Amino acid sequence: MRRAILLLAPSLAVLIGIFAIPVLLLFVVSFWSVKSFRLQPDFSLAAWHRFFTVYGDLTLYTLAVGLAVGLFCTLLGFVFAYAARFKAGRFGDLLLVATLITLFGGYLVKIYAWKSILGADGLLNQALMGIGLTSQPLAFLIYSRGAVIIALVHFLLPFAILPIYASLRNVSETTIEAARDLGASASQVLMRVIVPQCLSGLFSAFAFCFLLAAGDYVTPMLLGGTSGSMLGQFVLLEFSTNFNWPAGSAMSFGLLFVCLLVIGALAAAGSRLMRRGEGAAS
Amino acid sequence: MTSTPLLKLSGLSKSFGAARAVEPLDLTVQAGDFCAILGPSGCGKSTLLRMIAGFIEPSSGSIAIEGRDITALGPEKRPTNMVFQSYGLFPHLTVAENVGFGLALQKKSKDEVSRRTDEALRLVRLEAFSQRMIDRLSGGQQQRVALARALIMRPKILLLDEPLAALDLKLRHQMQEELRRIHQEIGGTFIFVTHDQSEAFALANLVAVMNQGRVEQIGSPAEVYLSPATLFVADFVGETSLLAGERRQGRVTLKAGPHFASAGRDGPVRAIVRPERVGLKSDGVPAVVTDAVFFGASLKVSLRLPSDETLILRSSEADAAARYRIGERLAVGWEDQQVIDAGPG
Repeated sequence: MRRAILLLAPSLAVLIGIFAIPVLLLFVVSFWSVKSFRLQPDFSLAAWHRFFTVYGDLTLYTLAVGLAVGLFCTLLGFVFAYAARFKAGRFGDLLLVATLITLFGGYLVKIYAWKSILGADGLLNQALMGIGLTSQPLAFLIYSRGAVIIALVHFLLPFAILPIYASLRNVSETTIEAARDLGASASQVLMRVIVPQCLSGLFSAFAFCFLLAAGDYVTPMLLGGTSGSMLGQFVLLEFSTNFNWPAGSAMSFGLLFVCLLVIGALAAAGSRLMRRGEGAAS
Repeated sequence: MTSTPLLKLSGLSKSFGAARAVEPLDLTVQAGDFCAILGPSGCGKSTLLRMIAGFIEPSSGSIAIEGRDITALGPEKRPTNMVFQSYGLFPHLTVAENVGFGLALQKKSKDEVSRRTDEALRLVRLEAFSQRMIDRLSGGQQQRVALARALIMRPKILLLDEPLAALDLKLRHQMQEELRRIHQEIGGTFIFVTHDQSEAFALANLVAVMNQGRVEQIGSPAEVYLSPATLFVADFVGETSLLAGERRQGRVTLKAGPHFASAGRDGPVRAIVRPERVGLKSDGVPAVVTDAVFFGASLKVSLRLPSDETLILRSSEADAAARYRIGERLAVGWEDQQVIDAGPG
């Protein structure tokens, strides 16, 4: 026990010192007020009121983008990880390495790549006009919600593939053969044997992608235009241009709480699914 | 009953690329049989079982159950169920859910599923564990769950892939008893794969001995043990001694000395001598005791013959240990050797 405390101490010190305390301080700031560009200790709910009234819709919209990205990534990630685990044979690990390598590509590079694909004189529009499907560039391809979601899914996909692949590695082939032997069709094998055994991987994949997408502000800034903006951009705006730290803080924590609520609800649903039937065990 | 056999394999074979895993073979199993496919590891016995189950597509030949050709059917459509060597239990389900898995897939009513699950669990004596998760069971208990999960489907043929290989000796004997009891109780047809000849003899009424992809002999345990068809069977089944010799004009002369009448083709032969048929004989072959192992009920003695061959003797006499001391020089003889033609060399 004492040893455990000793081993935990350094990382706990770092975590508390440079994460927990600053976050707590920032949370306190959300109740302060600003007078002529100076922060003043206070107990005011103005920032929170502003969050709910001005940014309520945008928060919901940001959440929706996060959910969509999380869902797409989990789905695509599962398909890829499934193929790598069960269909690729000895190339499975190679596919994983390839996935990891795409992470080195960098974040901005991918966004600019999408800009050059989706832009008015981008690859896609040129191609569409080249084969005569449209006479003018399609404006809605870039600077829209769709563009933001596509770029985020592309960037976050490896974060979904890795945990799902890790959990699929633990699914033994014999359980799949046993299910087939007992009369399960391919889809029944998938839904009753494979998916339930990799729920934890699916959950981490979704949580990763959802949280990272909901908190992102660079992608919407560069690809979202006016119709695709997300809350993170305005948090940045409040902190920097407006120098309204309380508002920025309230918005950050508002989004954080809503996201945790979503994850918590999902975890509860997942663990109820997992524990089903185990209740009467002891 | 009809004369159609329950299972009929005709010319069944499997090649992986250029390598022949199973040479074309025929096998007929009648309803109620307890059949053992016996052979060393890598002899193709598991491949054969997995072809019957439908997991491996045969390269040639056909599989028929009750006269119906099922060669083209997948495992989910065959009236067979399998107990896997590594069990393949579903770790996310309870014991009862594992056992009821197949019936639940068939959309049977909840009542029927739970009634038949209870029945199957009672058969393998696991009623008390129905709500446990799989990882909280011992190896032997997991084995029984796998058995119950297959039996609940009432398969025409139950296939068992090295079912007892992962268990320790005591548990293995216990499960052998259980398997015999269950086989008698439900009167089903079981086919199992094993590399352990004592297990095959303890359970099966029909033994198919395989070697390098070929079936060397099919018969009752007694037939296989007492009159092996090939040298391999003789060597693999039981602790027999194989003594080299030569046949000339109806008479075999062993390198070790003895000669006796034996009809057949001239050429090199092997004489198969059962350890329990060997004993002291005043005018017998001189031999030196090289080893003696006490087995409780009997003593297993290794003897070196003048030809430098080893002859195994088994004695259950009370004074055996005193009589066969290591280094002792004796004269031994035997009755009823069986002669098999051996290739040159």
